Amino acid sequence: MWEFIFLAIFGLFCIVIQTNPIANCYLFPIKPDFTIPLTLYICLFQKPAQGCFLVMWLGFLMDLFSGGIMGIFLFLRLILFCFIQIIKKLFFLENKLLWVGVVLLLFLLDSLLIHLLFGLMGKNWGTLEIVLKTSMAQGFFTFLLSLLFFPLVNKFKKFIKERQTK
Amino acid sequence: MSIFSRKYGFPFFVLLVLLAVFLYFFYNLKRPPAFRFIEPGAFSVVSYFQKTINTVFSFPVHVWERYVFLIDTEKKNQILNQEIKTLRQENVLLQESALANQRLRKLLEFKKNNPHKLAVAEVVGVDASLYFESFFINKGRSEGIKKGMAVLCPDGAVGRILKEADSFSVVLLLIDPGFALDALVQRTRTQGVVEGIGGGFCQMKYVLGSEDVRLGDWVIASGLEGFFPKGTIVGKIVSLKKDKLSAFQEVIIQPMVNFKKTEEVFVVLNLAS
Repeated sequence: MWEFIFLAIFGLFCIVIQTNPIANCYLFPIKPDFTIPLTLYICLFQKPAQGCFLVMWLGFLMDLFSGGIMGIFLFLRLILFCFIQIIKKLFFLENKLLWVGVVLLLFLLDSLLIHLLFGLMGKNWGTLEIVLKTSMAQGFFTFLLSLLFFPLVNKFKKFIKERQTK
Repeated sequence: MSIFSRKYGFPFFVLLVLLAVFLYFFYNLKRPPAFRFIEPGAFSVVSYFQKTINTVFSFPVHVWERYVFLIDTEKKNQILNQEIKTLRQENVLLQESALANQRLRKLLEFKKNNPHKLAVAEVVGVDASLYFESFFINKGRSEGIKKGMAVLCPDGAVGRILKEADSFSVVLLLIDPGFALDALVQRTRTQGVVEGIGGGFCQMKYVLGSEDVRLGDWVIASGLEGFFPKGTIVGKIVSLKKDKLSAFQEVIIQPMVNFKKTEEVFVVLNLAS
């Protein structure tokens, strides 16, 4: 339960950092999206039911803190959740190096889906090339940050578990 | 002869030397100063000697000045470094307040010259995603802000309110693909709809190919949709494409507002009648 609450609060913290104008000016050359590595982490280490709620929470927060149509990120994050659940059964995802590829793959999928949704809605949102380029750059930068991100989450998790056993 | 040389030899020699020196002096007197004869060689030898002596003498002075005499320098250096840091911080703070002062003065002037009822808001966050262009302001429903209201800054139109909470609102920027505004080309009064296309640009749609639209023309809000004051600057035309197969031309606009540097904005609460 504590882990669930911790991940929910951590998700909120990530989004607040992501939307902070000062962090965007001085810390990040490209705006990162921490919710994608966090979605991956949740899918890998949480029970599917709990994970699903957490991922929905992340999507909802993204919707709140973005200028898009409400529900778009909720939908996209759930699709990513399902995608990870499928590949989790196909690949041995305990390998941390493989996470790199998966984070980039998730970014690619996310941008493709956004492009598809905009296309279906008849909205003009740049060419597919721009979308892919932007998402790859964002994906790579987020991956670099997630090299710090995953160990940090693990540390916090361990800390919480130790506190619980005491 | 030997008596003469013994008695007058030395004075005679001195006299000869004096004469030679005088001739040398007289020779040099009428010429620009320069090394001649053996002087360059002599000077080189002397300078090496001088250098060696200087090195030998400077060593203890160096040891004294750089090591013995500098016992307290480390402390002094630390104090000075601290002072530099403090002064640098003070300098940054002063610069920041000067810039804030300049910005606020500009905002105040804009508000004074504007007949509409405006609410000042501060930008407190940017869009969480990469796909949409929006930012958050620290004013909401409690200040009378409602969905659809126009958001401006002294440079021109910024966007419109997309969602509002009690003390927080999301502003959809002009450059977002979801944004649309009825606008005019100022010079020719050609009407069209401005829509965001991402990448920091907008597009003016439904401009007939026959219309006289030029690069550098200003695009302003028409005021027809009821939220943006008529005449608000939207941007400048930076690209034009006329396709023979299409009835309309492609008009790309660059907004005048630098969205990445916007810190304070105005929300138009009521348009002056």
